[in-house]
Amino acid sequence: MSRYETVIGLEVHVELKTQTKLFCRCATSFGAQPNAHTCPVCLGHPGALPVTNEQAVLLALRAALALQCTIPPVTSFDRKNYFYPDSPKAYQISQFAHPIGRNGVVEVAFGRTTERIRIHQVHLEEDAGKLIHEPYRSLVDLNRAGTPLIEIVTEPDLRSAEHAKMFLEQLRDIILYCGVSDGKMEEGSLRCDANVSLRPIGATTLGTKTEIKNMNSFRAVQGGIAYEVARQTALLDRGERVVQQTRRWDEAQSITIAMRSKEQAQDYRYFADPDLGGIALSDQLITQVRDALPELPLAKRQRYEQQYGLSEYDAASLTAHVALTKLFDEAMAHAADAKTVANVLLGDVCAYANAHDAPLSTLPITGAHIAQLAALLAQGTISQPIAKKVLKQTLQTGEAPNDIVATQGLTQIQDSDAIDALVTQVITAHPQSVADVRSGKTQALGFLVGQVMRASQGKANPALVNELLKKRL
Amino acid sequence: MHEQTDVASHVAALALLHLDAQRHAALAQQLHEIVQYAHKLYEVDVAHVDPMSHGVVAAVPWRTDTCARDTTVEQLLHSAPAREGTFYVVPPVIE
Ligand SMILES: [Zn+2]
Repeated sequence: MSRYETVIGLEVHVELKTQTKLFCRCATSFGAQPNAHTCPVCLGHPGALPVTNEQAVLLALRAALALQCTIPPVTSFDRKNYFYPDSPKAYQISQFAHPIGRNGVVEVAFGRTTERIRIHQVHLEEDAGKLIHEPYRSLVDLNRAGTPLIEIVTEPDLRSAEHAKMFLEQLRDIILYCGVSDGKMEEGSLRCDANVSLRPIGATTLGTKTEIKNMNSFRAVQGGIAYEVARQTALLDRGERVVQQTRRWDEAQSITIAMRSKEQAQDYRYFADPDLGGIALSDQLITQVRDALPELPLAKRQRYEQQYGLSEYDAASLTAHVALTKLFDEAMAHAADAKTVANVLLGDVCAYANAHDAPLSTLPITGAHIAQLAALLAQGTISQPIAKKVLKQTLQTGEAPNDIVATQGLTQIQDSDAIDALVTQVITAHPQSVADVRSGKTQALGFLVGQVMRASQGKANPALVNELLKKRL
Repeated sequence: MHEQTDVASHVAALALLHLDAQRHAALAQQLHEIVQYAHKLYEVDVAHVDPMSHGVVAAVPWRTDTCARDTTVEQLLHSAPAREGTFYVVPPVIE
């Protein structure tokens, strides 16, 4: 048992899903030739003036509201001054005095308990360009310079590497549900820095913190913080001090490495950007954006458990993907059986998507299809193996299960006489297995059931087949 | 005055300006006068006034989120001090 309590705060950068940059009409799309998406505004040419992208402000407002922040009546932009070739204006337009959201909260389920992680603030800012370092020079690509981001800063409320990872996953889900960002950490549209410190258990003041950068996946966040906690614990145990510094997570070596500290750190001389006026956020606008917020992941998960009686596991698995909840909600709108729908989605549908490496949202299946399939199963119209076949065809072609069953005559055979005729055939064809069953080798029964099912092309009602076979043996 | 010299050194360092002693002294004096002038504001009682971020609120034009471009990469790179392909080239940056 450690003698220390871990204190973690996160700073999360989220790239907003806009077509254009925050203050100019350059495209934000990825993969263009270097500097193809630049203009006098994002290059900071003299005389060029920024004009705010309405959509970026609305998305930031949506995120701030989803994080239950207090929204100020007026939000405004400030200049954060620093010299670095990734910032052609020599300042980044950010928010300092009047960020778009303050004092928010994210509810995170850690196992069976739900904790409230406080959000210090949410603010809008521009991304920087990209540098490629060579031995005697650096190359500058400013395609990303000016791309709209929100930075979400938490209070130091997280207590372990595992908690930090779970919080971040929950935050990513909220961002995805709201359509604010595509939230792809591996592609850089979600980035996370962590402030980590330790203090003796029971202490109320914070210990000296280090900041960890360059964690590019959820695994890296967990690994980086866990490493830093162990490193600081060892230092304190030896009676040494933690030095306040920025450290970089090195994925390959699984360690954090101290970065060269910048001279004159932290003097950004923030001041209100005179080129940009304040943005009034009326109560009417705030209400409109808040009312349009979708149901958020945790609320949805709890509703799935309470309203539909799904297990905690199934509810959590479904709500982990926006596309799955969409299909589930659509299916339930057709009054399908919740458990069957959950099984179909989490079983065959997910397996198909994984096997074909296809995002769920690109599959031609709809919630109505799933509801049809569940109904066909519940009414006994088709058997389980046929359902699998039908589902596969729907996933491939987008044809409705009802149509597939009708056109291919896949309706389950419930007629005992028809099944009995097949049983007779199978018994005649497999005398050895029949003898085996009669001498007590019950495994042979399974073989015979399989043969009857095959003879019926999977359409016979398996329960009836079992019953009729047993009667004859 | 000594305090202003320090402020001048600090600001010069932040702005990556290298000043010789003579220029430094002259700028420190000017900075001192500017700051003194600005300090007149301390005479105003602002205890019950909200901080102002800008003279204009709400009258600011917004832009719809649609792409457009008026300049080519070549035109923009024309003013680059050095280039490689369509990259700008700058002296080495050491992390
Ligand atoms: Zn631009």
